[in-house]
Amino acid sequence: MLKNRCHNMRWLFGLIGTLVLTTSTGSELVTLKATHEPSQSLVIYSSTDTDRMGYLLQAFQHQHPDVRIDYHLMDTQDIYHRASSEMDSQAPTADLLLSSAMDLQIKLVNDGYGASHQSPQTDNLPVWANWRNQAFGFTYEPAVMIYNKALVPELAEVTTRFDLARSLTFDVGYLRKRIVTYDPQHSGLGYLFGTHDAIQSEDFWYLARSLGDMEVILETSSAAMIDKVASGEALIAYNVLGSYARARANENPDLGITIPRDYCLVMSRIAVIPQAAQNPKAAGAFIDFLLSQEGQKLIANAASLYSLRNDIQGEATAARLRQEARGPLIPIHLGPGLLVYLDKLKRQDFLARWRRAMARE
Amino acid sequence: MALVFSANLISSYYGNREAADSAYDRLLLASASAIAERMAVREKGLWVDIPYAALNMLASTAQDRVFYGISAPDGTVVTGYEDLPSPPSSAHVVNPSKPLFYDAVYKGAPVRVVSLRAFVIGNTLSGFASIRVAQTRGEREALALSLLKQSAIWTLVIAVSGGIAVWLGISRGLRPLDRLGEALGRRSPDDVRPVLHDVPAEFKPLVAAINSMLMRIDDGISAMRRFISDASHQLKTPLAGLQVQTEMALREKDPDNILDSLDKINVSVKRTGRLAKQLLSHARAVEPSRGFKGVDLARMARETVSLMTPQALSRGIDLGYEGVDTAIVSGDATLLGEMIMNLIDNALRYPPRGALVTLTVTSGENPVLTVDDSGPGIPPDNRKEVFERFVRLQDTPQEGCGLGLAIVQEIGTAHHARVSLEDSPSGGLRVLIEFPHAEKSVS
Repeated sequence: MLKNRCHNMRWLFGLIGTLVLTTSTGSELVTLKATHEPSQSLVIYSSTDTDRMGYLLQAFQHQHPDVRIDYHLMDTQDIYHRASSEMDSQAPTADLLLSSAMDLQIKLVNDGYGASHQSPQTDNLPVWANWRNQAFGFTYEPAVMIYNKALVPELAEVTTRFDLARSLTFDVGYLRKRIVTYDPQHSGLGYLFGTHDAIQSEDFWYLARSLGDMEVILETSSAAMIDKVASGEALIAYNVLGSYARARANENPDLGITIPRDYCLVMSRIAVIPQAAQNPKAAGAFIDFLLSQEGQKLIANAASLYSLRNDIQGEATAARLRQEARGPLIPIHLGPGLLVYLDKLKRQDFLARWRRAMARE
Repeated sequence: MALVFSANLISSYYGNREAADSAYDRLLLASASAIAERMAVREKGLWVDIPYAALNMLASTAQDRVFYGISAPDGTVVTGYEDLPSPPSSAHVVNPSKPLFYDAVYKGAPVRVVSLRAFVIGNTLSGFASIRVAQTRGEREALALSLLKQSAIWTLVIAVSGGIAVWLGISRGLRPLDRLGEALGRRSPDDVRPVLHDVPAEFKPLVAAINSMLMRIDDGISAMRRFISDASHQLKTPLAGLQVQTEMALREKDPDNILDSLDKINVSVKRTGRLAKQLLSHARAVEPSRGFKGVDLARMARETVSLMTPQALSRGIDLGYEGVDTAIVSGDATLLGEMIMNLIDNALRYPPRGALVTLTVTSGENPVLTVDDSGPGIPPDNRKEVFERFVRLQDTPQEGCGLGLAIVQEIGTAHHARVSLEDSPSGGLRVLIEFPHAEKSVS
């Protein structure tokens, strides 16, 4: 998979001849050389795949040809620990952190690791997507269900969590071992969705027990979950990132997407400028680009990450999502509430309850 | 003004800060209490389930950062931030379950902390667990500043409008004074007409005082002018006489005649000298009198009589005093002495040898000084004239310059005394000077 993606990237950036691809320990590094001298550098730690972010990096560099971009791809835990420990030891760190772990990004800002940035673009953000002018949401990605409509078209009628739990309990076990969801124990995003489901309603635990009874398959990424549904190994996946599901459903007509009707959680990827950033100006410019109309268009169309701005038209946009959703969209708000489930005891407690629901201990 | 303003601002800033603190402290305490409710003792020790709302309720518009820490009774931090600042030492001793609020600095930012202690009990441990919840001060400062801004604006409005009102009031209220000042400034030095400007009631006494002063100055100036013109006119005559006499003496060859002429000149010079002296006394009498004191009129009359007795004897006149020992009037001793001197001089001048001149002083409500002589007297029709200066009745044989009774009149007037002439029981003239009551005229 990694190899394949490297190949894609080489093809993509090879066209304009600015790509230097390196793999180092645990992370993947893509460098876009500056085409204008004198050059400055922008170091990004990100959890978003390069084949999605590549378009944005290129377009940004097209606007700022003097900026050399070092794009380090790593997982969200690594972003948090590397950035905070680098700042604690006063070692050089990234200029920008882009992470889907909303809670960890908020913890960095809460603990004073963030630098402020304010511009017309950030002022334009909805209140829930900007915390302290230090953490900025730049996508609007729903947590959806995706099912194999070629195998079980009736799953289109499962539109709420209650419907799903009832199907699991009463529909004589045809979903046993054929439903897949995030593993909150091993996936930060799975934990974020799980805990926010639990905040929304105590019914979540009814669903969790039903999932456990049906021996739910647990995965650590949306891509893996969609793969299982596409192959027919699973029939339905719960809490899949809508952005990934949308892209795959467009290629594969067997896949159907359901936006939960009871409520639909919406997550946002978060940009934070570390307080020790070497080039906070370029980082701010990149954030402004992500939030600009051009950047958001690329997010919606090329990267299919669901744009946050209301004035973007297209399939993977907040505007389209609002049209399609038949129930409330609940964006996860940036703020101290996100710190709650990072609490050591809270996490232990949540995961213990989850494990009991899975009946695996 | 600026100092008072800033002092006011500083004090209201601290007041506002306290108000903001007390408002947001409640929220902080609610958060800590929500956590406290979710504490329990389990096999592994203290357990707490932080409610989502406990931290989410602290999501403020200023987007303050939030920190918390939970410690077991033995002090070990069970969860949260391990190095949250402790409350000031021994603060919890008095009432352990009372929440404690304090300011501290954490992770480089000023924070407000609540420390709440809750009693937990179980198999493995029991005692006071401590919950600390802290919040950066952004929202509090924002509230304090917005309150400060409001109070500053109002203070400024009040100060400015007050200032304008006072300025208007003063400049409008004092404008009549300005005009008065300008008008007085424009006057020529000898313009002493009374001030007729319309002024506010508060300034009426001032204008009245100015007018009364102007009137006295006017009196003084006209008296002085009159005196100077009279004096120069009067001195011209004897000086002209002297000139004639000296010229005649210079033409004389006979030493006896020269001596005779010098004699005459000597007499003329003496007379002119006396005239000059009398003119000066007169000038002093017309000066506005000030600082009158109690003067013993009777004693003064006695002393002057004994002083003048040799002169009376040389004229063959019997000068004497009758009357009380003491009679206090309010007045100027020098002027009164001058007046008595002139009265006696006048009385000795006209009566023939062998005449009687008697001074009498009576005390009582209005002390009265009387001078009687047995001389020729003054016919009632002429009595007014003798008070005019430089008037000597026709057919009076003795030399004199006619100032005597005029001086007496001036001095008497200056002492608010009434001067009158009557027929004397002893045959000649009686001069009566009635003084006002001493107390009244002093006050």
